[in-house]
Amino acid sequence: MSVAKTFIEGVYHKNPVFRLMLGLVPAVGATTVAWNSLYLGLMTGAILLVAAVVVTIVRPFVPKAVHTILQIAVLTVLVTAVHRWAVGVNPEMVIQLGIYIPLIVVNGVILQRLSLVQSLPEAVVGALGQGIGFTAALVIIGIIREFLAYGRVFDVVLLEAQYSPFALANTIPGSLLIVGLLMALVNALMGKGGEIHE
Amino acid sequence: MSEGLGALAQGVIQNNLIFMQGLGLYALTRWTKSLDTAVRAGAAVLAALFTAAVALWMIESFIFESFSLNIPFVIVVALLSAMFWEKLLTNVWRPATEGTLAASLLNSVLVGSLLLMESWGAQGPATAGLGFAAGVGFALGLVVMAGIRQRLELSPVPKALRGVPILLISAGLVGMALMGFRF
Repeated sequence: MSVAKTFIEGVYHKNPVFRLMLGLVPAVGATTVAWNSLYLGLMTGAILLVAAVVVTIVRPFVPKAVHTILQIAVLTVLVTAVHRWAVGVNPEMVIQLGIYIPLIVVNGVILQRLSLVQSLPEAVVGALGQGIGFTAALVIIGIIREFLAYGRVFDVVLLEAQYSPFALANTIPGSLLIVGLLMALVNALMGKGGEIHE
Repeated sequence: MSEGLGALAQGVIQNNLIFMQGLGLYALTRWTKSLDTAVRAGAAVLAALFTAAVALWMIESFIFESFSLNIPFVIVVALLSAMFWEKLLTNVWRPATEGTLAASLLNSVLVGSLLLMESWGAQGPATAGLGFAAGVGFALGLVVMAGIRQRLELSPVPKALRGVPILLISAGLVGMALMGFRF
């Protein structure tokens, strides 16, 4: 399969959130405003890329029984480093994201990607596609939720004070509704059903 | 007594892991296909969560003073607890569990709720109680959603909504109902 095809498949046809139904916890929980979604998506994508490279290189030298532990160990080191770095750069964002930065360790997108045995170029292209697809999905959800809940997008006010906010969009149940409807929209565009085939 | 009941209600309703915190959606989409798998998954997570909470409390009070936001530490506790219960339960439940149980146990529920313990005001033995209550809430949530899913199988759902989308929307509606119980 060509490089471009693998990449586009990861972004669109196999979008982690809307098609594979992975990484739903950050997609539902951490997307209250668009900037936070973008930051979290980029962090997850970067960690996925580095972890894919490290795990692909180290895996042949490690017995099969400890592959899960290897993945978790690599991810824990990377997430701790990113967390420390983010505290120094933008502490406010770390407080707002709360538990969702540590939860990157058990992100379904990353764990599913790392469990595949691939060559190094395949792993890099696949990780890039999935990372960008995940970021795009998070930003779309974040824009919709921020607009409904506060009347603004990326901190730019679009609706003035007359707008009475749709407060439900700021809560987890409202987010579940929005993500479910978006998934249905993507399914309708592709002409497919929303069942899981694994 | 009333304090314990209050903690239980808080864990099951007010801070319900699935509906109010949005954690464990992997379990919600994968393990609710039948009541059987939902009960087993709920029980396994309840056991692992309680064990991890007890371990957290003991290590905190006897070895370290504070575990606040110590990410590697929380992850190691969750991993050990998940692997312990995986070894115990795979032999008993082998036919029904697909894939490795450790990978499924180590989803966002375990790590997420251990990280949330502090914001729930857990101190000392109350950590174990809150862990148990959160596990009960999670198991009940899975069972409820398995029941809803069985009813949905028989309903004429539009093609695009079938499967996960309608499941998430149903979970959102249950969550909205639980929001009425803020006390």
